[in-house]
Amino acid sequence: MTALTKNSPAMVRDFATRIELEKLAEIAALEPTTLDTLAHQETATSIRRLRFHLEARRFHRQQRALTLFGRSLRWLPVRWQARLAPRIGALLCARMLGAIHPYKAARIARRQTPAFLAECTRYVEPAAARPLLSQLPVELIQAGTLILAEQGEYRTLARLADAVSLPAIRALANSIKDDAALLNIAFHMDDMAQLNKIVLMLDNERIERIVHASVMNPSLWHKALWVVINLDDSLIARLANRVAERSIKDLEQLITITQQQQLWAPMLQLLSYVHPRHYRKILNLPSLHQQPVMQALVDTALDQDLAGELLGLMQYTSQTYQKLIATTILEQDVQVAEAALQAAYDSHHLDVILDMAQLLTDCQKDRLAQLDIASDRWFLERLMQTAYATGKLGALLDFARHMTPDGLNAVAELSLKDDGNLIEALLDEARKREDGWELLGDALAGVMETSLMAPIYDIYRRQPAEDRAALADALDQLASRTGFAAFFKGSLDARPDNSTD
Amino acid sequence: MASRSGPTGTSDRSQPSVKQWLQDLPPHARDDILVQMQYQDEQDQAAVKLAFLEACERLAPGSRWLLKRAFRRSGSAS
Repeated sequence: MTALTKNSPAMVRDFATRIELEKLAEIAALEPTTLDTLAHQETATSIRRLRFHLEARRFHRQQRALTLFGRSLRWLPVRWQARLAPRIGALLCARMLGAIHPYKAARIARRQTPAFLAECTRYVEPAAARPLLSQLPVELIQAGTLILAEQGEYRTLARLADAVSLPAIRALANSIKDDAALLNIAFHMDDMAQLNKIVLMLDNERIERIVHASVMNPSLWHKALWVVINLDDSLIARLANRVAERSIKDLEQLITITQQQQLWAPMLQLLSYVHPRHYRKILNLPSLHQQPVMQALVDTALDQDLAGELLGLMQYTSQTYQKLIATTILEQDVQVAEAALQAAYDSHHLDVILDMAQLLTDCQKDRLAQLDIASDRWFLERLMQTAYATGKLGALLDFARHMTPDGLNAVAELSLKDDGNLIEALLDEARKREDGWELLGDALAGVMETSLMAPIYDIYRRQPAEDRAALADALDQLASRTGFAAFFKGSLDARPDNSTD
Repeated sequence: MASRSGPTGTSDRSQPSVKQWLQDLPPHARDDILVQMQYQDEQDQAAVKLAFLEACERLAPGSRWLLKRAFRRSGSAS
């Protein structure tokens, strides 16, 4: 876990970059300053290309000499070549493999011991090994694999897994009983399509054991997350649900490891695939309610473009947790709250924002509703459409009465679109709620734009007399408290037939 | 769902070569990587040389001659 040690230069936020740095550090003893530079200036793709380049170089050194030697032995019968192989040695044999026809190479390989073949595998280039491996008996590959697994040669085995056929893979997976070893091999694989096929072949019992191994061993959790989030969606969901079905104690342990190693980005991705029936169990975990954990969760969600995932989870959480998260967001810089609203807009989770806003104190609501973004028309339009579509007009009214005059004017203007369809809906909402008229009056009282008065008034006078009276009462009460209410009430009173239809 | 960018194992032709990419790195990082490459080359060279010598010891004179000739022809030190 060289590159994932906390406070190391590689403790970067982007998970893919962290993983690539860890893999790079395994094959090249680079200086911490170099890792730091790569971590902060380069993408995961660039670092992976460097790793591929370093790995590929070693397969090709002395290639010419060994190809010449391999060709010079072609005239020998297979039996003799098979006898020569152990004398030539695993390294030279592996390097000259490309010079020998795969069919002939397979005949030679069949006469070798699994230990010798395992040794050859350490040096062989996957591209050269692929045609040979497809012709070898599964039992022989299996025997060699077991030797490599015992030696902890996970990178070699990952290269092998990238190159062998699926029946052979099935045999390999079944023969490696050590679940941690299997996870380590999967972690080092680069062919994600092949990895997907492998995981697809594992039965639930094996999956359960691998999940268990990663829960028990903190050094494996980031590897498990890396493997899982790179699979196809259906497989991620299958594995995510297996994780979610773990005991509370195990899940607490995972939250602790995730926090220690700052793995919230992949964790949020994983959680977004969990079936909603598990959400309450997970989101009510006490460790998830600790301030540093929530802080890290919010920071990661906003920093890594995962706020959509976080807000998606919020709709299933308790109000207490929603309030805690909302407070955590609002306690930070204004930019953080702005980013949260922007993320809610982008991920179509403005309904969650309306729910969460209702749980805040008046002071916090002011802070939220008076953010610059909350007065932008494009934002308000989506917010109002969302409130209308999800039946959260009461929450919208509550939000609106904390807005700046500019924001309120925009709300009023947008409410009047489509012949006042939304404002009619707001009136319906006001009728239903005990504090509805007060909320509506409060919101309308903030409208300072005189050009909006006429259309608002037209809608006002369309309403039944008792509703107009209720709204007028609400405005009367407000008038004593706020100048805005007095202004609006005055505008309504000044209309010629304000008391009759 | 958030976009996922897992490894694919395929090369992207629009990307510059690793050599070009190295040129754009800060000098200390570039030098460190080049030193590592050189170190790995030397290690591998030594491993191949050792493997060659061991093979020469084990092989019969005819095969040994072929191996030596191959290394000589390729210009590799043996």
